[in-house]
Amino acid sequence: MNRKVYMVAGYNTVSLGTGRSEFHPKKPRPGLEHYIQEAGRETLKQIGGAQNVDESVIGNFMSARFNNQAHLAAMIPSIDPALRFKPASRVEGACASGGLALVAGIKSILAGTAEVVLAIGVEVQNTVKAMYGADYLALAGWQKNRKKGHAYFFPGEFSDRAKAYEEKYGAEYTRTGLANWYKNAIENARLCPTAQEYENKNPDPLKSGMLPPNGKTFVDHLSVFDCSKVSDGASAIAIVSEEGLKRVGIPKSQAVEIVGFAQVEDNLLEDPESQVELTATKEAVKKVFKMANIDKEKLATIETHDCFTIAGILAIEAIGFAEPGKGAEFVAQANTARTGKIPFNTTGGLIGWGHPTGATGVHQAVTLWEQLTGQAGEAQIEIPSNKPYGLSINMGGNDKTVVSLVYKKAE
Amino acid sequence: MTFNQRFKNVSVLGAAGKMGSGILYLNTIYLSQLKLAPENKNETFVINAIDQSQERLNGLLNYTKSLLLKWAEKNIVWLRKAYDDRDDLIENGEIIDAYVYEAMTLIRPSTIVDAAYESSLIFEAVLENIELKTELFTKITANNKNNPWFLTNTSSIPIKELDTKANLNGNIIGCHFYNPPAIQKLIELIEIDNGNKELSKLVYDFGKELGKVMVPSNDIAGFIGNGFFMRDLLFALQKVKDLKPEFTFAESVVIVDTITRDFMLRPMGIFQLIDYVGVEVCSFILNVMNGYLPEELHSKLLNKMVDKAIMGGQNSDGSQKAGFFTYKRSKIESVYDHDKGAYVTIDEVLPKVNAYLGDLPENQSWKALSRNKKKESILEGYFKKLNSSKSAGCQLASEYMQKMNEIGTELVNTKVTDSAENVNTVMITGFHHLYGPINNYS
Repeated sequence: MNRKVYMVAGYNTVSLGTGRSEFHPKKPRPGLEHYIQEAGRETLKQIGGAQNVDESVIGNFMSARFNNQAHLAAMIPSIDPALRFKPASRVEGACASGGLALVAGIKSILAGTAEVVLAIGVEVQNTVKAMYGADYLALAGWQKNRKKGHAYFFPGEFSDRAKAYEEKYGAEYTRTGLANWYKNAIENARLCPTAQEYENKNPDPLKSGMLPPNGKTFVDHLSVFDCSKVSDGASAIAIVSEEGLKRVGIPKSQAVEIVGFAQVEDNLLEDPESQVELTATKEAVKKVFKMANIDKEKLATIETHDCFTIAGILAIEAIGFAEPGKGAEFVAQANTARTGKIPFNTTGGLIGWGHPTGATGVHQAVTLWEQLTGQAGEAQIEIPSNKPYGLSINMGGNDKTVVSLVYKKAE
Repeated sequence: MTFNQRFKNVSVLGAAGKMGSGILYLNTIYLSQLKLAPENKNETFVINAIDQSQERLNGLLNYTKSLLLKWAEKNIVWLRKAYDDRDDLIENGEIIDAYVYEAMTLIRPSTIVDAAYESSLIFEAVLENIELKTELFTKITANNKNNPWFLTNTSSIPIKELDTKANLNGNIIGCHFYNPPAIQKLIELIEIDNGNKELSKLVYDFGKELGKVMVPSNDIAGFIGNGFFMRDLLFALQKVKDLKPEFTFAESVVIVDTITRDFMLRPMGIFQLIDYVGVEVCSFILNVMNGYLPEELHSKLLNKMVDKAIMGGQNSDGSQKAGFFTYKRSKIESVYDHDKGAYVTIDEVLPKVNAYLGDLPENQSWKALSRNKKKESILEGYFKKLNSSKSAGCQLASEYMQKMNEIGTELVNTKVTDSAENVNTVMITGFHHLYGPINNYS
């Protein structure tokens, strides 16, 4: 990269939805603007105020339907009057919208058109019941496939992947891997006060994860424990240049450097090349490793897009930590647990922390920034000095838009 | 005529009432599913919703629509497959809207009984009045060429009596839904001697399709549910009398209500249940049963309360009307003192009642136990402690439990039903008790 790019001053709102004690489906809840303002203001506080910001980018997937609201870039000035008349853009790439916001910000820094970019991701989805939300989220797939798709479209798509994995490698074997992924997600979320599953008291998450799916009420090969929940939330982080870092007055010890980024798109109109492989994810990881000039052995932790447990298992294989078919075993042997060989999703990921779709990519960046700079509180893991890197994978649709970043504590 | 042909034209009498509205909804669900079967796509199905009041019928349509919407949302996985051939319906929201619209178009509201003259199946849920029921049945059979079959929701009148009086030639069955029929799983099924066996089969199929628990009862007034409940109620009233003169009427009512709810771990106390069902309804059922059974089954007290217009039951918004208690947001606020002819606040009564009753044998509640998968073993330990405790509350509850066991056993002995299991199923499924009255706890 021609310039150094850093991230600082991350902030996550609570991921609100079922599981949080303050959530009640029939009571009024904060709207889209609340989340944008809360996340934006908390990040601005850490970087000396809105006057230090050159540009903003907001990632959001489907506010036009969930909230009857489009034109979110024009909501940015509501965060702070000093953002009025400054550039702002809204980006959309389904559940990778947050990741796209990060990429857009990074590119502005690299282009030299901005020294400080405020990146926000937001989604407020509890405005409708799940079966209607499923319609909205299904727009991340090829619309002509909607009719033949499942009522719960994306759970249906990933259920097909779980089915293929089961058929190829064994049903019990697969289920054990998925259940262990769920267990890790819940245990990690319990350490993060903003996580949707922070208050989860299930004495035996593994047992819940092992429960067989019920195709009559949901999908055939995934249970509700295999799915990320419906979430409201926002995350924000500042993307800054070397000069920007000085401007906001934050020491490098509290910053992460972005040493690689990759964004790949696959053809929305086509079915997955293989149901047991995240082909676009694999490509994105290959690219980002090349740009960062590292391999997987240098990673201390990973935030991956586990919208479903099977996506977590397939991501392990796409990164190369396990051969095809060995991902489930890799999880069951506790390698991805917080004390394992390579801790994944240390604050719960999408299943444990929550999945406010458009916010997720930014949330992953905030989590890695916290971990690599030692600010993760109870959820903090050890970052070995010989493995100083973090990796994020943010996926839109069924492996169609993928954003992957490599982070390192700034020096 | 096949069963499906019978369901092509159905009437619900008293469709806008508390029970009728639920029965109408269940029929709408059933018929709408029939209509969605590929072989029935071009068939016409009709449900006549017959009730005296235009205003109530209006409310009924809104109520039914809201329930259908909830059903459709819950069953979207199935509905999506059922609408597979409709290329114009893509999203779940579109399918749900289409289903609710099509289901609602099956319903034909009417205030005139003539609407039932083309029906092959008649569900009856009018007032518990034998003359009214007989009159309606007679009128319909006289004008209906389809040899209609009748399903009565009576909870107390012997079915044979209706069959004979209306000359139905065995084409009637007792199909006693529990309140609210849309949610309650239980249906008591009362076949008559020499009744139409095909009709019995039809009802079993209907209930099974709707996921109901069907319990057979013999044709003895009150059947299992009210046979038990009315005797439970009379025993409670007797206990109130027994507690005099040491306690006022209001205190006695609270004592017995607390015993039956908290000590016996029921969802509500016996007097709150009477209020829920309706003081007037209970009084009416007792009077009906009294006319058919050898034992004395009546309550002067309930009759007097009805005379004073203390009716219980629910307001149209679902809130509870005053009966033995008055309620604020479903919580008991005051209790009726018959001797004073006035309500006294519950707070005035509770200190003396609680001091008398003493503590529960252990800290358990119906709500917590109803969700506990190991409740059987917990209940066993709980009642063991209750039976050995010397506290007034535990002793009274222990005595009450024994009486309930006797009432249940007597229902089997007097051939109201063939097994203790049926009695227990009715009380567990229909009344949401945690355990059946015929048990080894007492």
